[in-house]
Amino acid sequence: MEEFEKLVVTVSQLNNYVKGLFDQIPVFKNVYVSGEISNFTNHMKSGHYYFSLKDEAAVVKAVMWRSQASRLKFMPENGMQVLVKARLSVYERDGIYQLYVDDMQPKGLGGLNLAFEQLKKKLAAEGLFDETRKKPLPRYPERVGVITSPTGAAIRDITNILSRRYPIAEMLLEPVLVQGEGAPAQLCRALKKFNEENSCDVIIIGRGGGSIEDLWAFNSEALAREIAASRIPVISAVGHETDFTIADFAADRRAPTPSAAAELAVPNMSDVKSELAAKRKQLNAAFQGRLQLERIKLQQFKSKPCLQNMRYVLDEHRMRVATLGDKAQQLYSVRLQAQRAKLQSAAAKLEALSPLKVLSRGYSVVKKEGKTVYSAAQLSEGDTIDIQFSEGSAKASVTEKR
Amino acid sequence: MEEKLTYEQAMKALEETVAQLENSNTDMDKAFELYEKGVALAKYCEDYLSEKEKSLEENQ
Repeated sequence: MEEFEKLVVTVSQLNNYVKGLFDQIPVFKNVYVSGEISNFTNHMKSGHYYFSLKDEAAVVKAVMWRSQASRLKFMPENGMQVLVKARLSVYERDGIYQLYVDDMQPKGLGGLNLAFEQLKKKLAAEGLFDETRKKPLPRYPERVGVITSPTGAAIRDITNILSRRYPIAEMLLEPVLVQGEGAPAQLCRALKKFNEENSCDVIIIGRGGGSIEDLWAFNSEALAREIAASRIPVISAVGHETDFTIADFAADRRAPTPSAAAELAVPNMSDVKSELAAKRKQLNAAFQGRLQLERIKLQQFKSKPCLQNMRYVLDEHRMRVATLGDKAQQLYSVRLQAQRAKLQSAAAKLEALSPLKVLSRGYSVVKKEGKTVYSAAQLSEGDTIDIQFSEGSAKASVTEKR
Repeated sequence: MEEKLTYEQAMKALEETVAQLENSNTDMDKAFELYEKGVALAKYCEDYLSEKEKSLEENQ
Protein backbone atom coordinates (compact mmCIF):
# COMPACT_ATOMS: atom_id res chain seq x y z
CA MET A 1 0.00 0.00 0.00
CA GLU A 2 2.81 2.38 0.85
CA GLU A 3 3.97 2.75 -2.69
CA PHE A 4 0.34 3.67 -3.60
CA GLU A 5 0.12 6.47 -1.04
CA LYS A 6 2.08 8.77 -3.26
CA LEU A 7 -0.61 8.37 -5.89
CA VAL A 8 -3.59 9.03 -3.54
CA VAL A 9 -5.64 12.15 -4.32
CA THR A 10 -8.64 13.75 -2.61
CA VAL A 11 -12.08 13.71 -4.22
CA SER A 12 -11.83 17.39 -4.88
CA GLN A 13 -8.50 16.96 -6.60
CA LEU A 14 -9.95 14.15 -8.69
CA ASN A 15 -12.98 16.10 -9.79
CA ASN A 16 -10.86 19.12 -10.47
CA TYR A 17 -8.53 17.01 -12.58
CA VAL A 18 -11.38 15.58 -14.60
CA LYS A 19 -12.87 19.04 -15.09
CA GLY A 20 -9.48 20.19 -16.38
CA LEU A 21 -9.48 17.36 -18.90
CA PHE A 22 -13.01 18.25 -20.09
CA ASP A 23 -12.18 21.91 -20.43
CA GLN A 24 -9.15 21.16 -22.57
CA ILE A 25 -11.19 19.46 -25.24
CA PRO A 26 -12.05 22.14 -27.85
CA VAL A 27 -15.14 20.34 -29.11
CA PHE A 28 -16.72 20.46 -25.63
CA LYS A 29 -16.68 24.26 -25.71
CA ASN A 30 -19.39 24.22 -28.34
CA VAL A 31 -21.63 21.20 -28.54
CA TYR A 32 -25.04 20.98 -30.11
CA VAL A 33 -27.32 18.46 -28.50
CA SER A 34 -30.87 17.56 -29.30
CA GLY A 35 -33.19 15.93 -26.80
CA GLU A 36 -36.31 16.17 -24.73
CA ILE A 37 -36.49 18.36 -21.66
CA SER A 38 -37.28 16.64 -18.37
CA ASN A 39 -37.08 17.53 -14.68
CA PHE A 40 -37.25 21.18 -15.65
CA THR A 41 -36.87 23.56 -12.72
CA ASN A 42 -37.15 27.27 -13.08
CA HIS A 43 -35.30 28.52 -10.08
CA MET A 44 -37.44 31.57 -9.44
CA LYS A 45 -35.10 33.37 -7.08
CA SER A 46 -31.96 33.06 -9.14
CA GLY A 47 -33.56 32.87 -12.57
CA HIS A 48 -31.43 29.86 -13.51
CA TYR A 49 -32.96 26.89 -15.30
CA TYR A 50 -32.05 23.36 -14.24
CA PHE A 51 -33.13 20.39 -16.33
CA SER A 52 -32.14 17.19 -18.05
CA LEU A 53 -32.00 16.32 -21.70
CA LYS A 54 -32.96 12.82 -22.60
CA ASP A 55 -33.65 10.50 -25.47
CA GLU A 56 -34.99 6.93 -25.45
CA ALA A 57 -31.88 5.52 -23.86
CA ALA A 58 -29.93 8.18 -21.99
CA VAL A 59 -30.01 11.32 -19.89
CA VAL A 60 -27.64 14.24 -19.39
CA LYS A 61 -27.93 17.07 -16.88
CA ALA A 62 -28.09 20.65 -18.06
CA VAL A 63 -28.12 24.10 -16.58
CA MET A 64 -28.87 27.46 -18.13
CA TRP A 65 -27.77 30.53 -16.20
CA ARG A 66 -30.07 33.46 -15.82
CA SER A 67 -28.20 35.75 -18.18
CA GLN A 68 -28.75 33.27 -21.03
CA ALA A 69 -32.15 32.08 -19.85
CA SER A 70 -33.60 35.59 -19.79
CA ARG A 71 -32.80 35.98 -23.48
CA LEU A 72 -35.04 33.06 -24.43
CA LYS A 73 -38.25 34.19 -26.05
CA PHE A 74 -40.12 31.09 -24.90
CA MET A 75 -40.41 29.17 -21.68
CA PRO A 76 -38.92 25.65 -21.79
CA GLU A 77 -41.27 22.92 -20.63
CA ASN A 78 -40.97 19.25 -19.81
CA GLY A 79 -41.49 17.06 -22.86
CA MET A 80 -40.39 19.79 -25.25
CA GLN A 81 -38.02 18.66 -27.98
CA VAL A 82 -35.17 21.11 -28.14
CA LEU A 83 -31.82 21.75 -29.69
CA VAL A 84 -29.28 23.32 -27.35
CA LYS A 85 -25.94 24.97 -27.92
CA ALA A 86 -23.83 24.36 -24.86
CA ARG A 87 -20.47 23.94 -23.25
CA LEU A 88 -19.78 20.55 -21.71
CA SER A 89 -18.04 20.64 -18.36
CA VAL A 90 -17.87 19.04 -14.95
CA TYR A 91 -19.70 20.08 -11.82
CA GLU A 92 -16.95 19.37 -9.35
CA ARG A 93 -19.06 19.28 -6.20
CA ASP A 94 -21.23 16.42 -7.46
CA GLY A 95 -18.73 14.77 -9.74
CA ILE A 96 -20.98 14.94 -12.70
CA TYR A 97 -20.57 16.35 -16.13
CA GLN A 98 -23.32 18.54 -17.52
CA LEU A 99 -24.31 20.89 -20.30
CA TYR A 100 -23.98 24.62 -19.65
CA VAL A 101 -26.55 25.86 -22.11
CA ASP A 102 -25.95 29.08 -24.04
CA ASP A 103 -28.97 28.99 -26.28
CA MET A 104 -31.91 26.78 -26.90
CA GLN A 105 -34.35 26.35 -29.76
CA PRO A 106 -37.49 24.33 -29.86
CA LYS A 107 -37.73 21.77 -32.64
CA GLY A 108 -40.55 21.99 -35.11
CA LEU A 109 -41.98 25.43 -34.55
CA GLY A 110 -39.41 28.17 -34.62
CA GLY A 111 -38.49 29.62 -31.27
CA LEU A 112 -40.31 32.86 -31.94
CA ASN A 113 -43.44 31.06 -33.03
CA LEU A 114 -43.36 28.93 -29.94
CA ALA A 115 -42.81 31.93 -27.73
CA PHE A 116 -45.72 33.64 -29.42
CA GLU A 117 -48.04 30.70 -28.86
CA GLN A 118 -46.92 30.35 -25.26
CA LEU A 119 -47.44 33.99 -24.42
CA LYS A 120 -50.74 34.09 -26.23
CA LYS A 121 -51.96 31.09 -24.29
CA LYS A 122 -50.77 32.51 -20.98
CA LEU A 123 -52.34 35.92 -21.43
CA ALA A 124 -55.55 34.46 -22.81
CA ALA A 125 -55.77 32.27 -19.71
CA GLU A 126 -55.44 35.41 -17.61
CA GLY A 127 -58.37 36.90 -19.46
CA LEU A 128 -56.32 39.71 -20.93
CA PHE A 129 -57.89 39.25 -24.36
CA ASP A 130 -61.48 38.84 -23.17
CA GLU A 131 -64.06 40.63 -25.26
CA THR A 132 -65.63 41.95 -22.07
CA ARG A 133 -62.47 43.92 -21.37
CA LYS A 134 -62.55 45.69 -24.70
CA LYS A 135 -63.47 49.34 -24.60
CA PRO A 136 -65.65 50.88 -27.28
CA LEU A 137 -63.93 53.39 -29.54
CA PRO A 138 -65.11 56.99 -29.31
CA ARG A 139 -67.29 58.03 -32.23
CA TYR A 140 -65.92 61.54 -32.55
CA PRO A 141 -62.44 61.70 -31.04
CA GLU A 142 -61.03 65.17 -30.62
CA ARG A 143 -57.46 64.00 -30.24
CA VAL A 144 -55.92 60.89 -31.77
CA GLY A 145 -52.72 59.63 -30.16
CA VAL A 146 -50.36 57.78 -32.47
CA ILE A 147 -47.50 55.65 -31.23
CA THR A 148 -45.17 54.67 -34.05
CA SER A 149 -41.92 55.51 -35.71
CA PRO A 150 -41.77 59.16 -36.85
CA THR A 151 -40.10 58.11 -40.06
CA GLY A 152 -41.97 54.98 -41.07
CA ALA A 153 -44.63 54.43 -43.69
CA ALA A 154 -47.23 53.95 -40.95
CA ILE A 155 -47.19 57.56 -39.75
CA ARG A 156 -47.47 58.83 -43.32
CA ASP A 157 -50.49 56.67 -44.00
CA ILE A 158 -52.14 57.53 -40.71
CA THR A 159 -51.60 61.27 -41.16
CA ASN A 160 -53.03 61.13 -44.67
CA ILE A 161 -56.16 59.27 -43.67
CA LEU A 162 -56.80 61.34 -40.56
CA SER A 163 -56.49 64.66 -42.33
CA ARG A 164 -58.60 63.50 -45.23
CA ARG A 165 -61.39 61.88 -43.24
CA TYR A 166 -61.70 63.96 -40.11
CA PRO A 167 -59.39 66.96 -40.26
CA ILE A 168 -60.91 68.56 -37.16
CA ALA A 169 -59.31 65.93 -34.93
CA GLU A 170 -55.91 66.73 -33.56
CA MET A 171 -53.15 64.16 -34.01
CA LEU A 172 -50.55 63.65 -31.31
CA LEU A 173 -47.50 61.59 -32.24
CA GLU A 174 -45.38 59.79 -29.68
CA PRO A 175 -42.30 58.89 -31.73
CA VAL A 176 -40.81 55.54 -30.73
CA LEU A 177 -38.53 52.80 -31.94
CA VAL A 178 -40.75 50.05 -33.33
CA GLN A 179 -38.13 47.34 -33.53
CA GLY A 180 -35.00 46.30 -31.70
CA GLU A 181 -34.01 45.96 -28.07
CA GLY A 182 -35.45 49.17 -26.68
CA ALA A 183 -38.68 49.12 -28.67
CA PRO A 184 -41.03 47.39 -26.20
CA ALA A 185 -40.00 49.70 -23.36
CA GLN A 186 -40.50 52.78 -25.55
CA LEU A 187 -43.89 51.57 -26.73
CA CYS A 188 -44.93 50.98 -23.12
CA ARG A 189 -43.69 54.38 -22.02
CA ALA A 190 -45.60 56.13 -24.79
CA LEU A 191 -48.82 54.36 -23.81
CA LYS A 192 -48.29 55.28 -20.18
CA LYS A 193 -47.66 58.88 -21.12
CA PHE A 194 -50.89 59.24 -23.08
CA ASN A 195 -52.80 57.71 -20.19
CA GLU A 196 -51.12 59.76 -17.50
CA GLU A 197 -51.65 63.00 -19.37
CA ASN A 198 -55.05 61.86 -20.62
CA SER A 199 -54.09 63.76 -23.72
CA CYS A 200 -56.08 61.84 -26.33
CA ASP A 201 -59.37 60.02 -26.84
CA VAL A 202 -58.09 57.05 -28.82
CA ILE A 203 -54.65 55.59 -29.44
CA ILE A 204 -53.25 53.98 -32.58
CA ILE A 205 -50.19 51.87 -31.89
CA GLY A 206 -48.39 50.14 -34.70
CA ARG A 207 -45.93 50.03 -37.52
CA GLY A 208 -45.66 49.06 -41.15
CA GLY A 209 -44.91 45.58 -42.44
CA GLY A 210 -41.74 43.63 -41.77
CA SER A 211 -40.38 40.21 -40.91
CA ILE A 212 -41.55 38.36 -37.83
CA GLU A 213 -38.37 39.55 -36.10
CA ASP A 214 -39.10 43.14 -37.09
CA LEU A 215 -42.58 42.93 -35.59
CA TRP A 216 -41.33 41.18 -32.48
CA ALA A 217 -41.57 44.19 -30.18
CA PHE A 218 -45.33 43.95 -30.55
CA ASN A 219 -45.25 40.48 -29.05
CA SER A 220 -43.84 41.74 -25.79
CA GLU A 221 -45.69 40.66 -22.68
CA ALA A 222 -45.12 44.02 -21.02
CA LEU A 223 -46.63 45.83 -23.99
CA ALA A 224 -49.65 43.53 -24.02
CA ARG A 225 -50.25 44.31 -20.36
CA GLU A 226 -49.78 48.02 -20.92
CA ILE A 227 -52.29 47.97 -23.78
CA ALA A 228 -54.81 46.05 -21.71
CA ALA A 229 -54.34 48.48 -18.83
CA SER A 230 -54.84 51.58 -20.98
CA ARG A 231 -57.92 53.60 -20.00
CA ILE A 232 -57.86 55.16 -23.46
CA PRO A 233 -59.10 52.75 -26.15
CA VAL A 234 -56.25 51.31 -28.21
CA ILE A 235 -56.28 50.31 -31.87
CA SER A 236 -53.38 48.09 -32.90
CA ALA A 237 -52.05 48.18 -36.42
CA VAL A 238 -49.00 46.03 -36.86
CA GLY A 239 -47.66 45.10 -40.27
CA HIS A 240 -49.98 43.71 -42.86
CA GLU A 241 -53.34 42.03 -42.90
CA THR A 242 -51.83 38.58 -42.28
CA ASP A 243 -49.60 39.58 -39.38
CA PHE A 244 -50.99 38.89 -35.95
CA THR A 245 -49.16 40.04 -32.84
CA ILE A 246 -49.88 39.75 -29.13
CA ALA A 247 -50.55 43.49 -29.15
CA ASP A 248 -53.39 42.83 -31.60
CA PHE A 249 -55.07 40.48 -29.16
CA ALA A 250 -54.67 42.84 -26.24
CA ALA A 251 -55.88 45.91 -28.13
CA ASP A 252 -59.51 47.02 -28.06
CA ARG A 253 -59.57 46.83 -31.85
CA ARG A 254 -57.15 45.31 -34.32
CA ALA A 255 -56.70 47.05 -37.60
CA PRO A 256 -55.14 45.07 -40.46
CA THR A 257 -52.95 48.02 -41.43
CA PRO A 258 -52.04 51.48 -40.10
CA SER A 259 -54.30 53.07 -42.75
CA ALA A 260 -57.18 50.92 -41.61
CA ALA A 261 -56.46 51.92 -38.02
CA ALA A 262 -56.83 55.58 -38.93
CA GLU A 263 -60.12 54.80 -40.62
CA LEU A 264 -61.34 53.00 -37.54
CA ALA A 265 -60.20 55.82 -35.28
CA VAL A 266 -62.15 58.66 -36.84
CA PRO A 267 -65.44 59.09 -38.69
CA ASN A 268 -65.78 60.69 -42.09
CA MET A 269 -66.41 64.44 -41.80
CA SER A 270 -69.13 64.40 -44.45
CA ASP A 271 -70.84 61.51 -42.68
CA VAL A 272 -70.71 63.44 -39.42
CA LYS A 273 -72.35 66.41 -41.07
CA SER A 274 -75.10 64.47 -42.75
CA GLU A 275 -75.66 62.56 -39.54
CA LEU A 276 -76.15 65.81 -37.67
CA ALA A 277 -78.49 67.13 -40.34
CA ALA A 278 -80.49 63.91 -40.17
CA LYS A 279 -80.74 64.16 -36.39
CA ARG A 280 -81.96 67.70 -36.72
CA LYS A 281 -84.62 66.63 -39.17
CA GLN A 282 -85.63 63.83 -36.88
CA LEU A 283 -85.88 66.24 -33.98
CA ASN A 284 -88.14 68.59 -35.91
CA ALA A 285 -90.24 65.74 -37.23
CA ALA A 286 -90.61 64.30 -33.76
CA PHE A 287 -91.73 67.61 -32.36
CA GLN A 288 -94.04 68.35 -35.24
CA GLY A 289 -95.53 64.91 -34.88
CA ARG A 290 -95.99 65.55 -31.21
CA LEU A 291 -97.70 68.87 -31.91
CA GLN A 292 -99.94 67.24 -34.49
CA LEU A 293 -100.85 64.55 -32.05
CA GLU A 294 -101.66 67.13 -29.41
CA ARG A 295 -103.81 69.06 -31.84
CA ILE A 296 -105.76 65.96 -32.77
CA LYS A 297 -106.20 65.10 -29.13
CA LEU A 298 -107.48 68.58 -28.43
CA GLN A 299 -109.86 68.43 -31.38
CA GLN A 300 -111.18 65.10 -30.25
CA PHE A 301 -111.62 66.41 -26.78
CA LYS A 302 -113.48 69.48 -27.92
CA SER A 303 -115.92 67.43 -29.96
CA LYS A 304 -116.61 64.97 -27.19
CA PRO A 305 -120.42 64.79 -26.48
CA CYS A 306 -119.95 65.36 -22.80
CA LEU A 307 -118.15 68.59 -23.53
CA GLN A 308 -120.78 69.58 -26.07
CA ASN A 309 -123.60 68.81 -23.60
CA MET A 310 -121.80 70.72 -20.97
CA ARG A 311 -122.90 73.87 -22.70
CA TYR A 312 -126.56 72.86 -22.44
CA VAL A 313 -126.12 71.79 -18.90
CA LEU A 314 -124.63 75.14 -18.13
CA ASP A 315 -127.42 76.99 -19.91
CA GLU A 316 -129.96 74.98 -18.01
CA HIS A 317 -128.31 75.82 -14.80
CA ARG A 318 -128.19 79.42 -15.73
CA MET A 319 -131.93 79.38 -16.46
CA ARG A 320 -132.71 77.66 -13.24
CA VAL A 321 -130.72 80.20 -11.37
CA ALA A 322 -132.63 82.99 -13.10
CA THR A 323 -136.05 81.43 -12.35
CA LEU A 324 -135.17 80.81 -8.77
CA GLY A 325 -134.09 84.42 -8.51
CA ASP A 326 -137.39 85.63 -9.87
CA LYS A 327 -139.32 83.40 -7.56
CA ALA A 328 -137.38 84.59 -4.57
CA GLN A 329 -138.08 88.17 -5.49
CA GLN A 330 -141.77 87.44 -5.88
CA LEU A 331 -142.00 85.70 -2.56
CA TYR A 332 -140.17 88.52 -0.96
CA SER A 333 -142.47 91.21 -2.32
CA VAL A 334 -145.59 89.24 -1.30
CA ARG A 335 -144.20 89.03 2.21
CA LEU A 336 -143.48 92.72 2.12
CA GLN A 337 -147.00 93.59 1.02
CA ALA A 338 -148.51 91.49 3.78
CA GLN A 339 -146.39 93.26 6.33
CA ARG A 340 -147.39 96.60 4.95
CA ALA A 341 -151.15 95.70 5.19
CA LYS A 342 -150.70 94.57 8.76
CA LEU A 343 -149.00 97.81 9.60
CA GLN A 344 -151.80 99.80 8.03
CA SER A 345 -154.55 98.07 10.01
CA ALA A 346 -152.57 98.52 13.21
CA ALA A 347 -152.17 102.20 12.46
CA ALA A 348 -155.94 102.49 11.78
CA LYS A 349 -156.72 100.81 15.11
CA LEU A 350 -154.35 103.09 16.88
CA GLU A 351 -155.96 106.11 15.34
CA ALA A 352 -159.44 104.96 16.35
CA LEU A 353 -158.32 104.87 19.95
CA SER A 354 -156.77 108.32 19.91
CA PRO A 355 -158.48 110.83 22.41
CA LEU A 356 -158.38 113.50 19.77
CA LYS A 357 -160.58 111.26 17.67
CA VAL A 358 -163.15 111.08 20.55
CA LEU A 359 -163.10 114.83 21.00
CA SER A 360 -163.68 115.23 17.29
CA ARG A 361 -167.00 113.51 17.74
CA GLY A 362 -168.10 116.38 20.08
CA TYR A 363 -166.97 115.07 23.45
CA SER A 364 -164.91 117.32 25.79
CA VAL A 365 -162.46 116.59 28.55
CA VAL A 366 -162.87 118.44 31.85
CA LYS A 367 -159.83 119.01 33.98
CA LYS A 368 -159.57 120.54 37.46
CA GLU A 369 -156.20 121.83 38.45
CA GLY A 370 -154.68 119.79 35.54
CA LYS A 371 -156.36 116.52 36.50
CA THR A 372 -159.06 114.90 34.40
CA VAL A 373 -162.44 114.91 36.05
CA TYR A 374 -164.26 111.55 35.79
CA SER A 375 -167.05 112.18 38.38
CA ALA A 376 -169.14 115.11 39.54
CA ALA A 377 -168.12 114.18 43.04
CA GLN A 378 -164.70 115.56 42.30
CA LEU A 379 -166.25 119.01 41.89
CA SER A 380 -167.66 121.66 44.27
CA GLU A 381 -169.70 124.65 43.38
CA GLY A 382 -167.55 127.61 42.51
CA ASP A 383 -164.64 125.46 41.27
CA THR A 384 -162.83 126.67 38.19
CA ILE A 385 -162.45 123.97 35.53
CA ASP A 386 -160.71 123.72 32.20
CA ILE A 387 -162.68 122.31 29.25
CA GLN A 388 -160.72 120.84 26.46
CA PHE A 389 -162.51 120.66 23.09
CA SER A 390 -161.48 119.07 19.89
CA GLU A 391 -160.42 122.49 18.85
CA GLY A 392 -159.41 124.95 21.57
CA SER A 393 -160.36 125.11 25.26
CA ALA A 394 -162.26 127.28 27.74
CA LYS A 395 -162.28 128.11 31.43
CA ALA A 396 -165.61 127.74 33.31
CA SER A 397 -167.09 127.90 36.80
CA VAL A 398 -169.21 125.17 38.37
CA THR A 399 -172.49 126.76 39.24
CA GLU A 400 -174.48 123.71 40.28
CA LYS A 401 -173.72 120.08 41.16
CA ARG A 402 -176.30 117.33 40.59
CA MET B 1 -76.39 73.89 -21.32
CA GLU B 2 -73.22 72.89 -19.58
CA GLU B 3 -70.05 74.36 -20.94
CA LYS B 4 -67.52 72.29 -22.83
CA LEU B 5 -69.53 69.32 -23.98
CA THR B 6 -67.54 67.17 -26.33
CA TYR B 7 -69.11 66.56 -29.71
CA GLU B 8 -69.66 62.99 -28.63
CA GLN B 9 -71.50 64.01 -25.47
CA ALA B 10 -73.61 66.59 -27.30
CA MET B 11 -74.51 64.13 -30.05
CA LYS B 12 -75.44 61.49 -27.51
CA ALA B 13 -77.62 63.96 -25.63
CA LEU B 14 -79.25 64.98 -28.90
CA GLU B 15 -80.02 61.37 -29.77
CA GLU B 16 -81.51 60.77 -26.35
CA THR B 17 -83.58 63.92 -26.60
CA VAL B 18 -85.00 62.89 -29.97
CA ALA B 19 -85.77 59.42 -28.63
CA GLN B 20 -87.59 60.92 -25.66
CA LEU B 21 -89.47 63.29 -27.89
CA GLU B 22 -90.54 60.43 -30.11
CA ASN B 23 -92.08 58.77 -27.11
CA SER B 24 -95.62 60.14 -27.14
CA ASN B 25 -96.05 59.47 -23.43
CA THR B 26 -94.17 62.59 -22.48
CA ASP B 27 -96.52 65.43 -21.72
CA MET B 28 -96.67 68.46 -23.96
CA ASP B 29 -94.81 70.85 -21.69
CA LYS B 30 -92.01 68.36 -21.39
CA ALA B 31 -92.10 67.76 -25.15
CA PHE B 32 -91.59 71.43 -25.80
CA GLU B 33 -88.79 71.54 -23.30
CA LEU B 34 -87.18 68.57 -25.06
CA TYR B 35 -87.55 70.21 -28.42
CA GLU B 36 -85.88 73.38 -27.24
CA LYS B 37 -83.10 71.33 -25.67
CA GLY B 38 -82.70 69.38 -28.92
CA VAL B 39 -82.50 72.55 -30.98
CA ALA B 40 -79.86 73.93 -28.65
CA LEU B 41 -77.86 70.70 -28.82
CA ALA B 42 -78.05 70.55 -32.61
CA LYS B 43 -76.86 74.13 -32.75
CA TYR B 44 -74.06 73.30 -30.37
CA CYS B 45 -72.94 70.42 -32.62
CA GLU B 46 -73.17 72.60 -35.70
CA ASP B 47 -71.18 75.37 -34.03
CA TYR B 48 -68.64 72.86 -32.84
CA LEU B 49 -67.96 71.59 -36.35
CA SER B 50 -67.93 75.07 -37.86
CA GLU B 51 -65.60 76.36 -35.20
CA LYS B 52 -63.18 73.49 -35.65
CA GLU B 53 -63.26 73.88 -39.42
CA LYS B 54 -62.72 77.59 -39.12
CA SER B 55 -59.67 77.21 -36.91
CA LEU B 56 -58.44 74.58 -39.33
CA GLU B 57 -58.67 77.01 -42.23
CA GLU B 58 -56.94 79.69 -40.21
CA ASN B 59 -54.07 77.35 -39.53
CA GLN B 60 -53.57 76.57 -43.18
